[in-house]
Amino acid sequence: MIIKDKQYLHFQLPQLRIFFTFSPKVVLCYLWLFLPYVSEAQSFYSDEGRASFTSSVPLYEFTGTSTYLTGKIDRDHLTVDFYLDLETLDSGIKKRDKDMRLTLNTAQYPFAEFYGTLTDSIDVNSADVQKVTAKGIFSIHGQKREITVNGELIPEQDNYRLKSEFEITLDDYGITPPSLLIVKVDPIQKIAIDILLYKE
Amino acid sequence: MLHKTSLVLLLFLINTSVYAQMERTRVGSSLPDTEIFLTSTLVGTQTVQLTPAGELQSIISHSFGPIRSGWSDLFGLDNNAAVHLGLDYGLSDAISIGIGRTSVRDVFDLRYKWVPLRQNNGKKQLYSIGVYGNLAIETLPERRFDYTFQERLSFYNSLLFARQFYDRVSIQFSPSVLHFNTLLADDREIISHTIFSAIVSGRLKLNERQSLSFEYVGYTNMENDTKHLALSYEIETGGHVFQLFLQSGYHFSEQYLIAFTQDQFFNGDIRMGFAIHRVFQLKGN
Repeated sequence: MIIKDKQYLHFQLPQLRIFFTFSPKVVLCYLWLFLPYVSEAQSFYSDEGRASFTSSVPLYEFTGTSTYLTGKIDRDHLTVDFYLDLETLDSGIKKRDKDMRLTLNTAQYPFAEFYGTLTDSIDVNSADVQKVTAKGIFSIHGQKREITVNGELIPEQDNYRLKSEFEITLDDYGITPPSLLIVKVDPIQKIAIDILLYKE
Repeated sequence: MLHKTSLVLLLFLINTSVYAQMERTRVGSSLPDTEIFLTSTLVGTQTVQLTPAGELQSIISHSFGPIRSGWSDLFGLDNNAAVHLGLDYGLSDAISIGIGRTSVRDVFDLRYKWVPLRQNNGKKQLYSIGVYGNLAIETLPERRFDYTFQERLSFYNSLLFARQFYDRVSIQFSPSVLHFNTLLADDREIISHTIFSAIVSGRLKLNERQSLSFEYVGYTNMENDTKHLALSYEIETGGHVFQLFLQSGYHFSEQYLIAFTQDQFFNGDIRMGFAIHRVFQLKGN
């Protein structure tokens, strides 16, 4: 098929044949259509959040903490996206950190991630603490599970602080709980995050 | 040209309007320093490995008698053991201090280690360079002489150059100088208060939990010197490192190990020993 008119581009996809018009006027129309849509989207971001993973053994609890939690919330589209480089977790004992990296196989799966959506919209006019719930996919150790996470969104000037605590079961993610000598680490892992998200 | 520009604009807008996940990026600069050796002390000599900041490391080392004695004293296990107790504390990521005591000659030692350059793949630092030194005082009563405090002192200082290759093989080279304030004629045939030496250490990582290591006093400027050699098998758990070793030396302070080792490993003058390293968290995180 030959298209003589240069104002057309022809995409030949296996099952789809799409024609777009790209005259300057049409492009302006696209811009007119899309620009308001894009500019209204308001997101909040930080890469300096705090995340802690707490494990317990009988009579003892230890926590790996990182201040490199990266997160983004889109207030208009209610998307929530967080991830953490697991090699930044510091439990206070380097040998234990190494043990944790081996257990989580961070060489192959360096990130713990959550991507989902808020179940309710955020009240942009409220200065009070808002309870929020996010549903989405949490992934660690190369395994993904759908989870629901509850948290608090605290307005701080133009920004939001998000605090949340939830638990995962290591077995669900194919992680064998490590042993400290003969003592087995509890398979329930408590995760807490605290992140001040700045208006973008 | 206009078509291409339009297409780019369109794709940009479409792309912007899709709320995809953020690109995942590693925090490269925060990656831990390379673990060149499993412990800060190999058998009797120091490695470039530091006790991490805010951690206290305890070391208990035992070296038994010569195994050549056979069943009569259970290959040296019944024989007099040299025991070393040590504590090291990480003052910062680059400096640690420690104290130890060896039962042979009742030697106390105070030590420091400074490793300003540490191999780190995240920071593209390819090797480690550090300095180690100790001050030892021999407290064993000497019935013939009334030694002063100063006369009982000895010193050891060394440079540490180390690198791990291919995430599996580690090599360390440690030129050093030691000095004894006092020596008795029966300590060695030739008395040398100041001795220069070079120690070579190495580690082969079998897997993430186990490794084989060695340390060898490869050079001294003493005449008729006998050189210390030790081979070690190491097992690591989350907070412990266990070492099982064979060595020709009988001391746990470098200056004594270098100056007073009189047994030759390959002549069968071998002693069994073990060490337990345990770290404790003293700082909050």
